Amino acid sequence: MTQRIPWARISWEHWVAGCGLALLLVGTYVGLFVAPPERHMGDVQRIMYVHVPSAWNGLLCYTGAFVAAIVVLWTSRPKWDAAMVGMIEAGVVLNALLLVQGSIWARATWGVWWDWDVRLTTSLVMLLLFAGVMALRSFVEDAERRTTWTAIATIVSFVDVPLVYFCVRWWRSLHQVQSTPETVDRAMVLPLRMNAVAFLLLAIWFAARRARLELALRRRDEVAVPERRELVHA
Amino acid sequence: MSQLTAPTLTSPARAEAGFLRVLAGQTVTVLRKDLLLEWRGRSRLLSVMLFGLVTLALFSFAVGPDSANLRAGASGFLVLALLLSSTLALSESFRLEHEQRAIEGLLLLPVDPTAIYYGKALGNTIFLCLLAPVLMWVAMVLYAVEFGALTLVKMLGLWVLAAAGLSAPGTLYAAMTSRLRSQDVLLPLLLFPLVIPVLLGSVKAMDLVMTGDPMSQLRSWSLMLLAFDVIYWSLCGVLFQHAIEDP
Amino acid sequence: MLDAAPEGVVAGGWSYAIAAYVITALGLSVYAWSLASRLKKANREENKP
Repeated sequence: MTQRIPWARISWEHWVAGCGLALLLVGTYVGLFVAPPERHMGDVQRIMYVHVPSAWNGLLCYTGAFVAAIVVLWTSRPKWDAAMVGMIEAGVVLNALLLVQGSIWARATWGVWWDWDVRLTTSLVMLLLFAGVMALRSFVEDAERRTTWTAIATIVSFVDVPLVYFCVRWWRSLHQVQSTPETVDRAMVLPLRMNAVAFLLLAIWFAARRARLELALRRRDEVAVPERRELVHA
Repeated sequence: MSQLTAPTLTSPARAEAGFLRVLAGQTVTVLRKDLLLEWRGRSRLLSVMLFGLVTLALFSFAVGPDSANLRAGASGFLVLALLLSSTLALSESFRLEHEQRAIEGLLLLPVDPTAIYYGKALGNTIFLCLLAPVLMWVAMVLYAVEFGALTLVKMLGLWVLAAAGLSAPGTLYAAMTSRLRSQDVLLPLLLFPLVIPVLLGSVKAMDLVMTGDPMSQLRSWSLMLLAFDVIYWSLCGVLFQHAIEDP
Repeated sequence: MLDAAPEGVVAGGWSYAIAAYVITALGLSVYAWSLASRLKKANREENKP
């Protein structure tokens, strides 16, 4: 008898990730080999096809986490807490990748590994803010309090992001340095959009898996024998 | 029947005005308690002031004796000294409450958590403003900057805005982290990235005040600081009750 | 009249682009693997407390 694959038992997010991965492969191929090189920047510009999707989806994850945080303060349900954590962590991963890609871009175009470009600087601050939220979370032992405090920190941090952006923009404008080019050629839109959707689907997978992990950890802590817990946290 | 009857006690506007008055009263009570404790433990203010002075001196050593460099960075060093001193001040403001579990007593009283927040945040702001005269005077001496009377007034105004900007999220985070083991690490870790707009804004504004403002940018930076203060004093006031309630 | 532009002002850009893609792929893979192994461990611990 052949082994049957239990299609029905595969979680929904794996299907989403499968589509995302396929789309990413196609989009990357198009971006690297089919799309034309940019007039002034040449092949370096191809970094944009991973850089911009990372940026959009990172910010989207943080926005989702912000919404989840508001709901958490209202209802305090574990599923919303798990979703919030999933989105924060996915956002942090994309944010970190974004900074590395941006650094490589800066090195290629300006010869330095870091430039105080507005968006790059804001991304750095965002990473520090939300990595800090995850750090806070790891120190709180009580599950309810952990949920509430993570939500508070998420809301406070998210509200800061536009403030940081405008502030850094004014700060930079005094130095009159050009930022990264905005206009996108028509031939470049396709790989950009494909990768943007691909990253979105992968981010959904990351957030969903992390949320499942959070719920599993919560259940494990609930059934833990009290004496064992005291030994661990003494 | 006269149409000029007095509004009933249950009218919403009157109830809201009454609530605000109660809130203000409770806030002032919390503030007075904290200021009294501060006065009794004056050595803490002096210690934090001394820490600020040490920080200012350290910047001089780090940057070197070239007075041009020091003068150029003076506003930055001053604000950084304020920022670093603020973590000490903020973490202490709630540590007192956890000694002998005083905070539980405070929560048992019919005091609105919002009043506790605003009372403590105002207390922290006042504490940080008390550092201003000493730190600014020492900065003038160490970094060879001259202040006229008008400059001094503007600097103090900016200091108040910066102190308020630090105290608003700082009080909220201090309340949370004071219950955790690694408070010393967590409070700065959480607060410093958050208050970058305050840092940027106050450094730029103070720099303009000290070295001249040919393009009249001081207003925009001051408004930005004010906006940050308004946003965070409202937001943190709303969130504070969730931070201290027991699960 | 602009004649056909050469590779562009930035030379040697290809290696930078590839580097960015490789690091992104590595980062996403490592995180995915980390999630999978943490989840497997948590599920195992849940079933045998």
